[in-house]
Amino acid sequence: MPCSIRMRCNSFLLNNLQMRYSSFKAPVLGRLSIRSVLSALLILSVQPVFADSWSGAVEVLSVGSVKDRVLWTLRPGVSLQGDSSLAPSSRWSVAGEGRLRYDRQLPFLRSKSSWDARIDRATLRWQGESNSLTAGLQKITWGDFGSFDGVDQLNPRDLSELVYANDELRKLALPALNFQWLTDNRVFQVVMTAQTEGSPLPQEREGLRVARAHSVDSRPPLELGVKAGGLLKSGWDLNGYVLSHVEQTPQFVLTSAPQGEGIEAFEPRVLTLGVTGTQTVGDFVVRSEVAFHSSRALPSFVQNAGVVADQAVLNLSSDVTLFDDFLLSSQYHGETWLAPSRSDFKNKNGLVGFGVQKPFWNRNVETSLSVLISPDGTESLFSGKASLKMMDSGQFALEIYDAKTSTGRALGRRGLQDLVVSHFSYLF
Amino acid sequence: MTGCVLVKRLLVLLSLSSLFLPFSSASFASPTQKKNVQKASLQLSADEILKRTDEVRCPSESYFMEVDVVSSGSSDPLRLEVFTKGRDRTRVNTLSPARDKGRNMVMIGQEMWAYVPNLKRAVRVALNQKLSGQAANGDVSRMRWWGDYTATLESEDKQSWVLLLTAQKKGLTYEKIRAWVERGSYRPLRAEYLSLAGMVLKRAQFLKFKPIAGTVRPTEIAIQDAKNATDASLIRILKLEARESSDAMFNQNALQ
Repeated sequence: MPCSIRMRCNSFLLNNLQMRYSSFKAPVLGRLSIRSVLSALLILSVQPVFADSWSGAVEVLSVGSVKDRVLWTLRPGVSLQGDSSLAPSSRWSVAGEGRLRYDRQLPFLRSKSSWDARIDRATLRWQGESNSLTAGLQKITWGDFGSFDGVDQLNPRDLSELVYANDELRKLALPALNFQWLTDNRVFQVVMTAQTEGSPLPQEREGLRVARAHSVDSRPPLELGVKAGGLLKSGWDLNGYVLSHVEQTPQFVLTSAPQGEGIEAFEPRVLTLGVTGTQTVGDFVVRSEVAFHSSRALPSFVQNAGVVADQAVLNLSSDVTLFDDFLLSSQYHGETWLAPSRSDFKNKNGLVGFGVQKPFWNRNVETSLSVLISPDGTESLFSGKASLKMMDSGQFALEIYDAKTSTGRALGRRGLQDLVVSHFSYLF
Repeated sequence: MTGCVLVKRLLVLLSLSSLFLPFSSASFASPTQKKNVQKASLQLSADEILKRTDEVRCPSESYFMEVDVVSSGSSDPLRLEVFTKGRDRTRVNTLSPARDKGRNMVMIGQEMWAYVPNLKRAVRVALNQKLSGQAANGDVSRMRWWGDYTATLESEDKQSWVLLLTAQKKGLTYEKIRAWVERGSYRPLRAEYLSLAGMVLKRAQFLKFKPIAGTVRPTEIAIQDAKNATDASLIRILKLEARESSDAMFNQNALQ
């Protein structure tokens, strides 16, 4: 890889978050503005009247990054969610969830301020004695370890969302069918989601054109997930799943083309096979997940112009948690790229660390701390959080995230940088 | 009345009530009732006493209960709805405060899962993990003792039996329990929750017996830390009724 390109590529990765933030919002809002603003307003205004149960929050979110350059934003907003049976004792119910936020950014990052409106849920649900079917706009959670092993990839992401530790906030709802059959400690689940355009991308950054590596039209019409499992007599809760999807968190690669350099977003089609297991051993809870991904774009730092390198990956995540006055957990997240070794690329990578949390819930002050580091010291992730519950329903949380990575990978948690997030919410 | 003030008043009430425990309702029983009590004491095993005590505490195999948990140090009560199916399956839904809404739990056997709304995932937890203050998850999700504990009659007097309960299974809320049961009525009066070595961890009082779900039952359980009496929780039963629920509710995958 030519030195200049590699340097620019690494620089691009280090500034990935800022790039996403400063240039993603306009196209997202441009496309979503009419439909989503109206729909969110409809949900916000109609739900309290008709919902059997509803709740909401007024919140102010501020995010700052202190690395490389100062980035600061302030987001006041309101969210509302509710659900309602279609008739008394009916098996049919509807549910909705939406948010409306004013996104204020400092002028040197972007000159205009804007409203961000989103529907997070709009579903019709049928609940039987042991099975249920949910249809409509929804977010699907898949796998046990979130963004660490790349399994939870059915929904596209809002890449401009900075609260990276909570991946749920970045998910964009999409049309889906979710069928569950639950009985006597066993589960069988089938999920089908309509294929969409994927995570919204910026049009350009610092003069470089940003484009998808594969055409949106070439995507399969549906994503499909099937899961089966149950609780064994031995106490093991085992689940196996198959997932066919397009990776929704793109990998950005600097490329050369006849018309000039550009940035390509790789979103490979992936077949994921996984097994999860949890067990209680005395006061400890053991949790593990092994996932095989048939394809994943190689981390950008090993790629150069014109090379598309999708390779199979095996992920293993595991943690052991002790429930006492403190909630203590030790964690391991590892990945093995099932490709021949390259001189500039480690096939195996891992993060080990621990987390401390006290107390688990329903206290006025909650604190948590998590530290993960790779054995060779090239990557580390740190997160700390303190939240103070005020009044009856008020809550103020201060979170600090810090990532140091020489590879840009951090096990799929792409884009994490040094962040300070403060979040005030009043729930009603 | 705020939760803290309520808890403090209850602690005073508990201290006073324990002084008068020997003069509780059995003392005012009729002569016929007293004879029945003596008969029962001769005939019943500790196991049978425990079984009848459970029948006073819980209406049937499957029931629904709405409870408030008020804890010292917490400004507002935790309101829960509890569904049970058979002896080993419980679903707990958190209704309020708003910030904890949706933190629901499922118990299957001795296994328990709690749903964390931020993560949209259910994580496995333990029955003895603190729910709020001194109340453990198992204090609301696994209220029955019979079948889980082996009972031995430790002592008795004219008013009550003292049962020592030893866990038959691993993973239960408490390793040992010393329970005071009123003769004749089989009402639980108070209990000490013990470690395996027999050290008292918590003390509980069963209060405010009222007709509910077909018979007179305790509607409040006050639990205090054995070392720090000001660290206490009150479980207040607001509603209790026999009710059948669908199987699907009692599956960890239904926690969402």
